[in-house]
Amino acid sequence: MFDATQIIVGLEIGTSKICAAVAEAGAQGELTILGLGQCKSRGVRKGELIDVTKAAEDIRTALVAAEEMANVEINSVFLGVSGNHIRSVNSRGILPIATAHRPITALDIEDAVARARQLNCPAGYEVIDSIRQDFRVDDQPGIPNPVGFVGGLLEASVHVIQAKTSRIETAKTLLADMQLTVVKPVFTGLASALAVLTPEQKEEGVIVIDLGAGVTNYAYFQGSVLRHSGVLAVGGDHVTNDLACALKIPLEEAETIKLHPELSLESGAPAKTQTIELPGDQLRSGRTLSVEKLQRILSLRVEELLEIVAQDLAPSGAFGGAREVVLCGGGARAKGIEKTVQRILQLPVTIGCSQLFSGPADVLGNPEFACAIGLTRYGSMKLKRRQRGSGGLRATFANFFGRSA
Amino acid sequence: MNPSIESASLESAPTTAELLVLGIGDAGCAVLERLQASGAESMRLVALNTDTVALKRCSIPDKHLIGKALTRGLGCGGDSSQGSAAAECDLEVIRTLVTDAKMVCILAGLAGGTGGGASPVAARLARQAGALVLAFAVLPFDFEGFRRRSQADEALQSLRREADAVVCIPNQGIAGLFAEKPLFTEVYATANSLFADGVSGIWKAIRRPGMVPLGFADIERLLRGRNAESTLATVETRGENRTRDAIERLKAHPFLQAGLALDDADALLVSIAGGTDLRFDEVEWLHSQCQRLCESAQLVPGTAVDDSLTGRIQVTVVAVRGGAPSGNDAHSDPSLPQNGSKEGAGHTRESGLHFETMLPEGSVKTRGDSGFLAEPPALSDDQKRRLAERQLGTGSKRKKAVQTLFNFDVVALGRFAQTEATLRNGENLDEPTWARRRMSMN
Repeated sequence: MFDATQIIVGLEIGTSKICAAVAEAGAQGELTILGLGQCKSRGVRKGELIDVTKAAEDIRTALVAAEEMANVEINSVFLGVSGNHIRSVNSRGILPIATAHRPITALDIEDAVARARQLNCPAGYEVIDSIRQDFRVDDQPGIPNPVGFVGGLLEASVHVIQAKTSRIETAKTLLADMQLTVVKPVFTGLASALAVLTPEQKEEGVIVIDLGAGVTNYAYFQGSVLRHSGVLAVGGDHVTNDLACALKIPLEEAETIKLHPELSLESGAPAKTQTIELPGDQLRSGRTLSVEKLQRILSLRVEELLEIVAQDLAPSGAFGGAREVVLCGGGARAKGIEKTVQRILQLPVTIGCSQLFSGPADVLGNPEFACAIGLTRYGSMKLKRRQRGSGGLRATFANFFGRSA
Repeated sequence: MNPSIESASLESAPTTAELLVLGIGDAGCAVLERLQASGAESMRLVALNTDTVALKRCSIPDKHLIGKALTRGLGCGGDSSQGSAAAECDLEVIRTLVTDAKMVCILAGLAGGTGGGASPVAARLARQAGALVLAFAVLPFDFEGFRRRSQADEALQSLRREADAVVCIPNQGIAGLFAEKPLFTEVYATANSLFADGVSGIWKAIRRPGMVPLGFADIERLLRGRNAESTLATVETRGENRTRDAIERLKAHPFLQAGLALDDADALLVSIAGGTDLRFDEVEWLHSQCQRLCESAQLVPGTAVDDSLTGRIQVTVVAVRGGAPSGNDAHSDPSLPQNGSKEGAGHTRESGLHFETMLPEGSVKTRGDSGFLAEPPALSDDQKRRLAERQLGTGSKRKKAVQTLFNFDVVALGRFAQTEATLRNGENLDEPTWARRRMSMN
């Protein structure tokens, strides 16, 4: 009933750019990136839509570019969502097995997970994702798959990601107006992680930090399980804004200075005398800025951002369990960012590129596209489950992270 | 010499019993020994440690073991919670020591257990006893590792809460002083002596009668209740180019982080001492150079002549950054510029314009981004009032001007003005970090 190959589209409506990735999933689930379209984003701030009309134009531009490159027609997408409204919680669902001495079935597992999913969801929020961690049968913890175990009480640990319903609906309506169906909203932090991580990294313990323009998403995997994830609505735009406020210059100019090749977050000994010339025009005279001062403005912000991420990750045991940090997003291109992260999180740092995909190298190697590409992987895993699900198992909640990836 | 000025400064200078120098932990005691060796006149040196053996080795006569009940005299093993518990055990010992002291200097290495743990407790007690508490804190070398560094950072935070001022001395800066490969002992000896020089330098600056006197009161007004972070440096030069050398050496001084600390300073205390051959132009030049090093800071000048310094010139600099004086507002009217009223007024007008839309009260933002605004000593109450009135347009709004102390709460959100605020730990993260951390933008 399915074609041998499937087209999967990931759409990321980001703060700095809108990015659509088209992937083809082979019979074995292998993914090839066929096309990628991007457009500068004007209607998004801190990961959330603020101007729907502008955003619609930009999305159309990005999708058309992707369609042309991949030579396909796009009519459904996996939509990446992020922003301050995303909440991640670790939840537990407990299911008593009524008749003892009966092996636990896949249906029991689904029931337990469904119970965990429903807990702690505030009004106005909806669960966009629930990812299984592990199970406990009576007094035996840490079981990855309890089918066939015998016991009286099944306890499921689930990582639940919730989002504000209104925000999700706004985006869905926007896309519906463009004759596009949203297959599923997906937390972008998770999507980026899926793109840049190998199963080995997830098994051994890894923290992924997606340094976006509007938001910073992060996720911590250990033992092939997503242990923690989160969003901080602070990103590269804040750095630009800090500069603009400090120097009293327009944002575009601040953006140019931020990307100046002489500036680095981490510098051995900043020469006090080193300066950057800001060219003048008819309206303003040129200025000379001290590199050292600019670097301090930048690093203060980035350090603060990372410290908050570290504080948030600490309770989940990430600093005992993780072996490395992988960075992606546009912020991963910042000069010296690896050293700063390494200093604050005390873990080795690498810049992520999309793993286990085929496609153009310049697309896969770019940390900025990790999220859109990761969305296609999420989609392929989701569809695989559905395919299998049509065989009789109600596997919509199936455990598609880590172990199956 | 004006006799009235001199006698006034002598009166305010504390006598022997009034300065208590507490060396806490191994590092603190080592500096204390160095201080004693360099002739610590008119101060009381007391060593505190949790380690009997180390204390026995210490050459300071007045020494006390703390936390014997807890550690059995075996030290803290680098655990600062043990250190603070040890101090809490022997509260009475410390309390007796600090009573009657007008000023207490605490010397400690913050990475250690005793130094990091006990010094905040000692600072608290001294402050309760009414003394002005200056803590001199040594931060560890980089090689000492992450744990010790983070422990030192933590101790520094709590010390900042307890002490009136903390003078931070980064050891790593000293390692950079040596051109070639120095001996291990050499580096430590240099660290200790630079440290001891700083302490005695500031003390001498206070005690020395001066033409432009710098008394205990000046220091107190600058630091009392500010919980500030400070840096200090003392240099002594001689010869033909002594003034130029002094400035060069100050700029290169490791404690000033190659001038970085000066850049950020909100207030700068400069004490210049020389022999009877000290020339006026030298003093003038040194003060103007110091002011140039940190244009935004309030300068507290002091100049003294000391016969024993003939042929030499000694410059002590205390740079104070952050914190806000907790003194009563009547005395520190923030609407007043600190030096050069003309320049200050110009700045005010410019900032006022810029922030007009954001500050409905037509706020006066003096001295741009420096957080600390202290009383200009030269103005009488009447002059102050008139100046404030001139800046605000009317006299009735003067009270509102006090609000500007908190002008960091109303920072341009720029791009994020229309969005939902990102709040974390009581801060709006959309505001620039540099503004929240009070980095100076001048």
